[in-house]
Amino acid sequence: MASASIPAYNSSPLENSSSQNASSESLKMEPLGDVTLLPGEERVIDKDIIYICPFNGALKGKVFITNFRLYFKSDGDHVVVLDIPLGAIGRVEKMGGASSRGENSYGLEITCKDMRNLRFALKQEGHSRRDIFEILFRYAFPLSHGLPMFAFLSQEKFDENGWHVYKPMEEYRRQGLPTDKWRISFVNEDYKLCDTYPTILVVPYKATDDDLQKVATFRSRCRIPVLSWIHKENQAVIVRCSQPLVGMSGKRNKDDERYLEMIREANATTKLTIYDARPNVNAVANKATGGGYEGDDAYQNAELVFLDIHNIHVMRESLKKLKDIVYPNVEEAHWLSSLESTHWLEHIKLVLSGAIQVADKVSSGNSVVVHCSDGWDRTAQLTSLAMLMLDSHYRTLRGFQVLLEKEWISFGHKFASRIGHGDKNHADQDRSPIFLQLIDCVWQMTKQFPTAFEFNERLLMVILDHLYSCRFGTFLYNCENARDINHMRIKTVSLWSLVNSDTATYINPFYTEESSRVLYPVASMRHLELWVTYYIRWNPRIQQQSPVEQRFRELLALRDQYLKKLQELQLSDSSPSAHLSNSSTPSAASPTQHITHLHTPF
Amino acid sequence: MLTGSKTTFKVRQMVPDVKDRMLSHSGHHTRGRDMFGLCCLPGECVLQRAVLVRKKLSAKEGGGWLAGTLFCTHFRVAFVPQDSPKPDDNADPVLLGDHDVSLSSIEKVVAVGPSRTKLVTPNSSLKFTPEELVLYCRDLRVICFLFDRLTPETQAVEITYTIAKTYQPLKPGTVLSFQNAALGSIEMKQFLSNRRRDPNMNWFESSIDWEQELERAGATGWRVSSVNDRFEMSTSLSRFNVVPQKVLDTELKKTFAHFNEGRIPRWCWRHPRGSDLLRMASFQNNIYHEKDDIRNLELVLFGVQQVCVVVDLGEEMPSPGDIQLAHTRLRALCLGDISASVSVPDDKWLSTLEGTHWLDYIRSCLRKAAEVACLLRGGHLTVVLQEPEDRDMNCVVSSLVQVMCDPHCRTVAGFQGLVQKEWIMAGHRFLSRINYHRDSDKEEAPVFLLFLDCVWQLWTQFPSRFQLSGDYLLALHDSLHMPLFSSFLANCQRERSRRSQHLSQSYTPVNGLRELPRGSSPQDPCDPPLPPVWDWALQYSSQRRARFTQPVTQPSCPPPLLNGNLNTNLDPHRHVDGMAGSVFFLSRGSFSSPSNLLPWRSGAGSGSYRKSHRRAPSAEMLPGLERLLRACSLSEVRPEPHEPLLPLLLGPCVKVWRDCYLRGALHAQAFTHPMPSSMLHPVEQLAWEVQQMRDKLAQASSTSSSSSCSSSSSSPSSSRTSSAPHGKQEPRRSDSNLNQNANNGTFLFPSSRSACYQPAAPRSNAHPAAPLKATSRPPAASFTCPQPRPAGRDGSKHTFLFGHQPDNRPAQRYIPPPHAKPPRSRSGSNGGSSGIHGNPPQ
Repeated sequence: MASASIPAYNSSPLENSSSQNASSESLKMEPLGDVTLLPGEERVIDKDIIYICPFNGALKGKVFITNFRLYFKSDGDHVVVLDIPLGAIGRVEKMGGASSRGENSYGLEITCKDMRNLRFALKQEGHSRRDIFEILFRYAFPLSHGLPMFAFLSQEKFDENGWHVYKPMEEYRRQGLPTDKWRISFVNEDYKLCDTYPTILVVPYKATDDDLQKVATFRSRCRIPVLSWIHKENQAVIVRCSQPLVGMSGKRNKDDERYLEMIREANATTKLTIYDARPNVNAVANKATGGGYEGDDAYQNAELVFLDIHNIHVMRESLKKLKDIVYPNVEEAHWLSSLESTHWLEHIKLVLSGAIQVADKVSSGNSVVVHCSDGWDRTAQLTSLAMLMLDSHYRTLRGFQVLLEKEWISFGHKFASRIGHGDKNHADQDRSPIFLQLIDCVWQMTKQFPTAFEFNERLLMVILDHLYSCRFGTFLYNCENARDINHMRIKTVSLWSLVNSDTATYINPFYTEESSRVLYPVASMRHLELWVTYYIRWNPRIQQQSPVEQRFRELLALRDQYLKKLQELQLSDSSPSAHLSNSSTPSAASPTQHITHLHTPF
Repeated sequence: MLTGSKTTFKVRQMVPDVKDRMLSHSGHHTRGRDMFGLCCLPGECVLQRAVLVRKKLSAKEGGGWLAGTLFCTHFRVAFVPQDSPKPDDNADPVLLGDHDVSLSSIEKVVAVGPSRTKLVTPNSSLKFTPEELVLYCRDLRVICFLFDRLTPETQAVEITYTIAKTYQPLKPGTVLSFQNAALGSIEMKQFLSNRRRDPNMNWFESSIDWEQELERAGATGWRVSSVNDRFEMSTSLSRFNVVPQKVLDTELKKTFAHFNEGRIPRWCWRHPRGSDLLRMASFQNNIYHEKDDIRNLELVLFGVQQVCVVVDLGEEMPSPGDIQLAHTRLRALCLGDISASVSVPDDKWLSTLEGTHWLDYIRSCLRKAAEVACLLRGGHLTVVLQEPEDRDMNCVVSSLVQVMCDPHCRTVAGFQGLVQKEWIMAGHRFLSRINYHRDSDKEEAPVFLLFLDCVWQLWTQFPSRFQLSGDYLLALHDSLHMPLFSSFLANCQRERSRRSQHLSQSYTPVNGLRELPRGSSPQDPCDPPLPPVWDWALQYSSQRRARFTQPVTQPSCPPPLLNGNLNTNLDPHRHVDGMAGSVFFLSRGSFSSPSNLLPWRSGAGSGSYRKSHRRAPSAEMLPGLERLLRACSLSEVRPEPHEPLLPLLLGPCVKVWRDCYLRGALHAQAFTHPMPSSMLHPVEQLAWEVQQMRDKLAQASSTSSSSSCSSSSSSPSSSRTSSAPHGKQEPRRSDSNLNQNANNGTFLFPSSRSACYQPAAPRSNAHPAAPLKATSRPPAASFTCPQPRPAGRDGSKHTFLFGHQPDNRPAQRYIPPPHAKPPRSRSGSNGGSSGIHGNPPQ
């Protein structure tokens, strides 16, 4: 049984993506024969070490640390490999002391952001872990040490430049903007109106730039209501913003009220629906810090709906609980109630059902305004999911990239704070898996509508992997302003360069193009599932691939094999196959047919 | 469609006389069964009808609403979609259309009005006009009909009443009248008596059937004994039982008394590595063991091996009571109920589901079966499943083991044979456990449903290793709730054969209509002849049956090598090399060898027999056995074709059978689904292409191998996939009996001889794309296919698409048209095929 094959749980999607484009100069590290270094990646240290694998026990081997990754390969027949981008490391700790007793009690404990922990043991003599600990600490948390993140060191080249995927003007034009009711404003060109918004904003036609300035004073962090999406037929819009600065005294702002009225009038919505993503009590509590929500009397032609989605701290704790029950050991007897007690799926359900409400309102011709507190976490979740339900363009491989670029990256979801890229403060209260939650929601939708999305699960995985890896510039920094200052588009490579240079990997073979329908997933615990292939992917006893997809791939391989054989047969004995070819006429089409192409090349 | 009806439509008061209240009665003309567009069974009468009704489609059916006409006959509630093609009067009767539900499956009728919902019972009166009619079914379907504003109000009211009064909450006595309603007419009886059984599956009714199974499994040293031919040895065992060759019938007779109900250890199956699987009831204690008896008991127990492991299923497996309780809870949880105000809040769904323990029981069945499979894999063992009665968990585990280990059991024919062997013939008490007559409430337990769920778990984890499909399992699940099938209407073979004897003695055709509830003794000579459940053509439309199989299975699988000799090559270090006569006891995952395991060895009183070489089993063997088990728990077993399918059993891996338990329209009703999740056409499509290529290759290699025999087997993959069988093509492989193996479709590159089995044919009608092929005739010239056995309804139709009319095949087939409702487009495309591929043999 012992085979030299590498168990599946080690194969991180990152490996698949380790680019073929890597130039050969990086092959200088001989001992890592089986890992290709990225251009720009450099070896820092290697060391004999013991990996305490929760599934296979203690494994002797060698660890290599580069400025990008931690790579471990065990000795012996049963090879276990770990390949972890340093960016995925959230915390490095020393375990045990020089005097600790017990086998393998002295070493390092690494907590990763991607749902696993690693333990390494070293010899107790001679401070053997000091150098490796310091190096790990330094390179895993470059920001805390004044070092550049790997994205700035990477020399990767791709056929396509992913930074060109999202062009705001093009996207707004695709939506049919500007119209006679909505205009494109450049008031924020220098990030003067709002430093966390993008430069190009779509606002009601009637609102002057002066109006916008006034409204900005009444919205938290100046995140004024701007258009995210417009329905082509009924002209209903999704508008996003932050909470109004009502405060304890219940302040009102005429400009803000008039501004929302303009939004309502744009398509003659009878009552503008304002979705406040927060639970009612939280919204009230926010008044104490100067925030709040739109009162009935102030906004008479609007109705306010609370969506009961909890804040970043609740989500962080929920994910922590989830990690506890899936890594390293998966609870068996009480799995379902343990899962329930994490409330993770319940939060997913609330986000999804909130987005369903938004989408439903908009598709029935009602304009909506969505906000939470600052309008960069729950708001982004709601608008992007609602847009995903409403607009089939966002369900394509490129459309989805545009959606993320637009609603998340350009509108200032605080990736740097939420993920803590290169930052050693693992206990930072700003960290929260908000974006992970979005991707989970998208995954739930792909599960319920397996033919509606052009991309597959692998894309979602690769997005999450590089959310942490710091190999690409895409998710670095909190807002466009900061990205501009750091010249991200010039100095770093976009994740979409990687994806779009190898689209075949990320294409869902079951995709059926369909434009007109609105997708409403069922947001019920009965139909939501834990994303096992992501959250429990490190466990070797969990199926790594959906059986259906596995079957599909097996069949594809088999078909190619048969095709080849048929051709061989025809070539090898052309005379006996004379009557074969009259009973069947396979044109010698290429067996290297594209995966998306299901038609047999006969 | 409706204008043609000749009968004046009248709503009448409900009166006891059935004849009086029916709208129409499909008369004695055999072929004139079209009533208002409903294709009636012979003798079926339409009691009520409502027009312009819409049926809510489940997510699986594509969601949304389907307009049509709702009927209530005295056998079913039928729904005929508006634009469905006119029924073919000459087609054989099919019990249920795609949207129908039999009255016996209905559990509750709920009417939904403008402001209220009401549970409608036969005695209740409606004070409002229902807008919606919801049928809760015993098979966990929830069917929802919406009355249009244009539906005449009287029709909406009356059909609700009619259904409520006619559906038959199972109780003593109603089963027979239901059977008569469905099958009681003369035409139906004639039709049924002329029906042939599926010759592709093994029915395990004759000794030949058993011998064939021995041969298929390559089991030597065993023979079929007919000592129980008259059920004198054991009333619950079948006529024929497989026992060691060494034991003579006269000796065998003496062993029956030593086991509960006379259920002696019997052979079930042989693993390719040579281990045998047996099953038995508990030992009968307090019996004096004579010396001769003991010799025979040991022989019977050890079979042809030296080492025996007794696997206890009595204690750690769920009891029938547990299963019943769990299933009741699961049903309550899944069905939900709009008439009862209490339902489980959504955020408590997971823990409530866990609280039913249903998934726990599934896990324990699968785990036990996986353990047994791993033991068998070790080779040279006799593994005996022991359960006090040998009629419940033994059925579950023995058949699960075979599904895991034997690819043949993952085909429809093989699976049906398996159920025949391990359930129906083995005397699982279907009648009591299903409790059709509502007279065995204490015995009721859906053990078979638990088994089906276990199989579904395996299917869902290893879909490509199965030829049967999830739809097939679902259909079997649903058929269990119709008390029509001889398979399920008896507790053992003895009861079943008694019934049929009576039938043949005094067969008097009786007009089914007059059969109002009467005593339902199984011996009633008026019973209609009951079909076996495997007569799928009788129950479901050809479109539905087409989805019972999936074309290509085990893409990279060599032929199953069930010759019992695999072990010598593949098992270099035999795990278990015990002392002769060692017997071990497996319970709760660990082995022991208690001295009192075999009563005849332990008892001091009868312990006169103790041969010198039969010492106490050495403890040294235990690690070896434990290693076998560990292999199972560590999933060390590679996914190789002859290796068992060992399911993942971690919490997240055992799932709810959503397609079955949560298919009620109410669950996923919030919004419509653009694309149902079941429409995974691309995979199916690809599977078909591969299948066709495989056929073509088989064809090509068979023709080319006539000139150069080695050309096919020298290619890399064929040498990989079929090295073993080609190396030693057993002489008996040419035997006609073995062509069951061919059903597996696993002869990828057969030698010229085995090529003639033509693996694809039996399942060639399984795909929606079939109609296209139907037009092309088999390339008879280039491919002659000597079928050793009658190939049945499918075998004669080879489907070779290649070459004949390649243009005929529209490329857009795979992609469902974006706006068409998938079910409709599907049935539409299948319309042509039904006549050609779906016809049962006449």
